[in-house]
Amino acid sequence: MRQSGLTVITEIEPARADALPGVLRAAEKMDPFGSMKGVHHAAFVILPEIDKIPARLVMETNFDGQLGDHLDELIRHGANLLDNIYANCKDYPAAGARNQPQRVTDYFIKHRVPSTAYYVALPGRARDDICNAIEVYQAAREYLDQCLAQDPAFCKLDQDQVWCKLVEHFRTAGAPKPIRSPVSQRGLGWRARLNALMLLVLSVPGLLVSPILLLIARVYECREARTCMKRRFPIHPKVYKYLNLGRQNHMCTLATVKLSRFRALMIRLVLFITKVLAGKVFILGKLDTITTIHFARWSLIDGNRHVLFLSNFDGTWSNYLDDFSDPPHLNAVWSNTERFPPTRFMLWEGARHIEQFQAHVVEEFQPTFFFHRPYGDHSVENLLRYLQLRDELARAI
Amino acid sequence: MSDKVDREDIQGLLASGYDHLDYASFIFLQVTNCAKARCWLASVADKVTNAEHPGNNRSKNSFNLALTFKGIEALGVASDSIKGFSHEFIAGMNRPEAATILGDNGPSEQGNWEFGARETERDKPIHILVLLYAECEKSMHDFVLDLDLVAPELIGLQQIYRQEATRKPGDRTEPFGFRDGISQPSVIGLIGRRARGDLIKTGEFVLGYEDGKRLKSRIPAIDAWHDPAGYLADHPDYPNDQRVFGLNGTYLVFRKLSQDVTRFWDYVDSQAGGDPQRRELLAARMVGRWRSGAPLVLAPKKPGAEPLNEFLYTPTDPDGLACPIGSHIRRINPRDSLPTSTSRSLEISNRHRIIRRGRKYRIPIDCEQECRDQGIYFIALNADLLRQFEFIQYSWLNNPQFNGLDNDKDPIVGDSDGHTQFTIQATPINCHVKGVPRFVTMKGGGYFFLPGIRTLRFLAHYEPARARSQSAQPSSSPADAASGPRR
Repeated sequence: MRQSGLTVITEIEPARADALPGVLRAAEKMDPFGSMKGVHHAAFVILPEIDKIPARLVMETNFDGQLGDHLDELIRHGANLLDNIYANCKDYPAAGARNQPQRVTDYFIKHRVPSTAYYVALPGRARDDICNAIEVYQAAREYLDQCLAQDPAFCKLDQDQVWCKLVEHFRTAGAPKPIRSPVSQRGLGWRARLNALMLLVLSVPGLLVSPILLLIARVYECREARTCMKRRFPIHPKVYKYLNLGRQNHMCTLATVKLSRFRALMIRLVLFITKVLAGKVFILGKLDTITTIHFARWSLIDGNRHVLFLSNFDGTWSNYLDDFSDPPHLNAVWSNTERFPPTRFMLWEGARHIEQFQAHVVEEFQPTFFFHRPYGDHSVENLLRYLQLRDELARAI
Repeated sequence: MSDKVDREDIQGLLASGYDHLDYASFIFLQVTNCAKARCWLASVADKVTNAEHPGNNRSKNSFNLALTFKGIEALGVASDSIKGFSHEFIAGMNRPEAATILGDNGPSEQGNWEFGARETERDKPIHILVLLYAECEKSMHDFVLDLDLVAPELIGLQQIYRQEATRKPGDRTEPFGFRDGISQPSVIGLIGRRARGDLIKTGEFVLGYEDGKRLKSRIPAIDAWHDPAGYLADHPDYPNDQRVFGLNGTYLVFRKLSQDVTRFWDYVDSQAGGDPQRRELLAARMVGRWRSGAPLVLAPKKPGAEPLNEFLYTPTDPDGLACPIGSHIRRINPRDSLPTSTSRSLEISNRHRIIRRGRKYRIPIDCEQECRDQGIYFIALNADLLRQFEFIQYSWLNNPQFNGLDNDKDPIVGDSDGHTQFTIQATPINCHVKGVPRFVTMKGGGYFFLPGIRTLRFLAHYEPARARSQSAQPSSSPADAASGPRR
């Protein structure tokens, strides 16, 4: 099933801005997203006032299937949560989600912001699919541990015999049933290779033009080096607390696109390329070389003036940024934004200066007050292993 | 092109663990009288052991000195004068979010620390850490006398805490009984100059030099007018009106880690079913080395004698069948065993190395008396606390999903709570040793800056009054001052 991202940005009532973080933190403890079958990671973030645009609330969800079904589920299971939170925002229907579900749906659709680029680590894997893989993996491990404890001779079996026993075990009524997923990693692998080949052929004209664009970018880089770009909003006082929420973290940054037509054009072009690559080539659990991201999205907002980046990832923020500092084409996105460490020809240097890059991210980071992680601490790499085992078991059974 | 390493300015601890000196003393001091403390610092700055011949000249004692961020402030330098210290150093090891990163939870919570906790900071802030090494107790006593540290209150200092550590000559084991301190990075211009294989760039451990990515770490800098006598150097990467305060310095991590030896061996015994051979093998698998220090990857079945360190995992043991993937040494330095190409794995591993200078302790220090507590004073040196020490602690040692595992923490030093396991890779299926408890508890510590010796002289002769009058005048080029290093 196809996953999509919903981003809703709404203006906060000025009088309620101070209270909203507390409301979100309290709502996180109830977490109604847990009972929504089609929702993966979800988060609420508050954007500060920027360029005279008042403070705003961002809701980010990653869901299976159609937007209409997702909004129905959201309102059905999370009416109280939505009412509590959005009572602090402008224009939210006063009667609330339970009494006026259609008006609330319309409200979300009206304030929805499309993702300019969107990345999913496990495309086509519905939440039920992933939860089943975790359950099957854990059951398999428990069964094998049990076999080993009960019969020391078990370790003398060869791998095929162990596999047969495992398959037999999952055929019994007591064991969780491995479901058949509509996608397989092998199938995705073939699709990624084929897509890469096609894109390579299609991009030949673009590759011929790219040296010219990079040269123009270099001219802009030299010119921009002479100007001091001011910070657009103060650093959040508790930024370091919110950078490390746990084993899985959420990152939201709000960057300002450099003020020139060339930069505006380039960021749209680069995000378009990112969108194509993320959807067609990086479909095997890796965004280029980065294996820690579950979901990521870039949205151009405020008339393409700002870039909102939202992502869910494994590990610490510094580890994450270290990952980000390596693939050069990620520089291509951020080099079009203000105060990013200086790049050379858009692709080189920049994030490689890791200390400057970290300082820059700290400046642009927005704290996440509500974070829903449906798979506990399971990393992308481990989920891929669980899915592979479950898929093979499902095929064997 | 690599820079020439200024070994005369770098403190000796970076180049040597002073292995020939068996008696160590770590004194934690608070500055109570700034002027007197600076006088004392001026009198001892020339005695600080440098990295030129720190261990090879068989000196009878060695002296190094590190400062906390508050310590630099307590010596008169206003906290906003120096730009470029890392957030982790400024906020310290006791900052709220560090407990999650370092695994200082449960019995390791700050409430149980003997020193360095946030709650005690107001009454007993730690400003200076003096690290002394001597041949024996007698020579240590003489050395303390020589450095005027017998009565610190007379020199404007107050002793907050003091730790002693001694060992038998030639003893290199840690309290669990394993040979310690084998795996040290070979650093260009500092350590292992005769070492074969790849040397790690100096900038990974000393500020002011190229690191593994051919970049230079941010060097804390101060406006030149603070230093009229010219103790500090200028630097081509920084504006002319700035001096590099942190050049040739590094960040020092001090942690008192108490080891529950009885619990460790009782647990290993219970899991081995009382079989002495299985007991030794299980303990060795948890560590990744036999007691002798011989690595399992080279001696998988029987204890080897040589504490070898030149090996990789992928050629002989890619799946962890000899040395489990979650063993202590494979976590703390995964070498080529991360799930990527060999060269990339080595590159990543080398970006997260630390120099370890720990010493084991026993309380009481007299071996004739019954032991009340034992462990190691863990001392690590690195140029970037976040990328090196804190990364290792969070992403490798305490990460339950390290390298494809799913509920394992470091079996020796991890912040286990009895619910994690230790996975032993085997064919046809892995074996899980369940319910690993916590064997190592944090008892106190902090983050320090081990400055270059020129910087110590600068601090010793710093004139806060002059700085105040200067700071009242407008800066000659405020734009430059705000811009930080020229890149």
